[in-house]
Amino acid sequence: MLDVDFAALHRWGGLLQSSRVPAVPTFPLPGAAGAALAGWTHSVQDALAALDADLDRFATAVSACAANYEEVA
Amino acid sequence: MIWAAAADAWQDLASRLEAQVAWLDRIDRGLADSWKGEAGEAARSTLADLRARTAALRLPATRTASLLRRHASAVSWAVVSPALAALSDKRTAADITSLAIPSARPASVRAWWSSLSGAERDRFAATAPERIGRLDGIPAVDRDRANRLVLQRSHGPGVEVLKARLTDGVYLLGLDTSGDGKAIVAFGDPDRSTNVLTFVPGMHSALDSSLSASLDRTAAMAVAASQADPSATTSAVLWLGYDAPDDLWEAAQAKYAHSARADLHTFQEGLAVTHDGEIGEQSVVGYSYGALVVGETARDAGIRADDLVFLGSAGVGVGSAADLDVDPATVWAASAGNDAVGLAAPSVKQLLREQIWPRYLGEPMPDLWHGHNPADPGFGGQVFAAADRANPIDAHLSYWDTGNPALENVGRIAVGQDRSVTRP
Repeated sequence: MLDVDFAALHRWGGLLQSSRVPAVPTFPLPGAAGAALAGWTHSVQDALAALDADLDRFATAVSACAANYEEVA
Repeated sequence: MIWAAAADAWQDLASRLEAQVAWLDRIDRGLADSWKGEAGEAARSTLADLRARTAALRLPATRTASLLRRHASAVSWAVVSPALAALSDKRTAADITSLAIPSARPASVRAWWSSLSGAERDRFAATAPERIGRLDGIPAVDRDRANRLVLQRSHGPGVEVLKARLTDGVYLLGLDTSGDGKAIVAFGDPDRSTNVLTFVPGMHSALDSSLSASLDRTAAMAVAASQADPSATTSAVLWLGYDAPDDLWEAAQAKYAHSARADLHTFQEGLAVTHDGEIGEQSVVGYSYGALVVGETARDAGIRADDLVFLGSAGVGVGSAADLDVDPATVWAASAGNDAVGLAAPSVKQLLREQIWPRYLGEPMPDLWHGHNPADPGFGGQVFAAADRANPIDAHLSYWDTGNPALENVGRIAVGQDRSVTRP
């Protein structure tokens, strides 16, 4: 007997799929500080993009598991 | 105006990341209720990793906003003082370049290590002990086993000290013999002790004969915690996981602390994820330059701790306890009245005006090399008692002497007996 509420799992999976991580603000700014900020912005953008992709994969997996559980049940 | 707008946008990003973390917490609670069993546990472990990676970005975003705001203020004076704006441009560029995204790996490492069979773990520890031994998220006993393999084939004065001190109940959680060397040593199993105290030493600390003194101090704090609460176990960990300054010239620079932030952050996270259940009281004690390491980590990367304790500090990188991103009531500091570190004035002029001129070695100064003295009541933390000594150097070295109230107070803080802490 599975101890899984697959209706709730569908709901969480859907919520996760509809979410997006926040975007990084981009500002072309002058001077050495502006250049440093551009480089740093790029690093944070990369980290957030990777996080977004992994969150998306996780959401897909949760939804797929919910569907599998439903089928088995 | 544009710099101020950029600052606001980064602050907004930090707020949205915080909201995202809260939302992931809600999802976690939902999954815990609706998905039992092994698969559900695995899903929550993945979610914990995603949460940690989101949370790791919040403080760097807050710090970026703070740096941009400071620069915006300097730029607004550019018409009156172009030199000030140029100086700020250079300083802001250096500060932004030093920012890093803290690793959120310990939770993933823990999940990976748990998924291995005993034989697989043995094989990893035997074939790659250097890597396993330093990996935050791997349990203390396994790290210790791997690091002892590395220790056996290493040489040098610090290595000999370690070999002599690694008795039963002492765990080697990190070893790096390159450069000045690094070592992380726990007195008591941090994964099974009720409380965990991490000690970050200061200038002159290295994997050499000086290691003995750092180990003695760490052991003394473990004993003090045990005396404060004999019913609980407290593991005290020496975290010499950074390249500490070798002299005063280097100690006046923050770059050694900058380099340590990400590693200290990750180490503290690792302690939490490998602990058997919740840690009772998790504290971090920063001494001398080590206090700056702790302060900058708390400010820029976040530090998992219930209490931050600063001893003999020349500033912790902020103007007040509230800037450390922790509850100021959990920030503790002590400095002997005649500690030599009180002479670490940002300028000769200040030193003459506030120390030498009024009297020979006056009261501790509020502003030091690396910010406001955390042991000054104006810092906004909690100040506790420490004994004076005959001369300023002895005063700086004596916080762990038997009978010094500073040591007893650190023991009380480490076990959560905040009300028993004595004040100056």
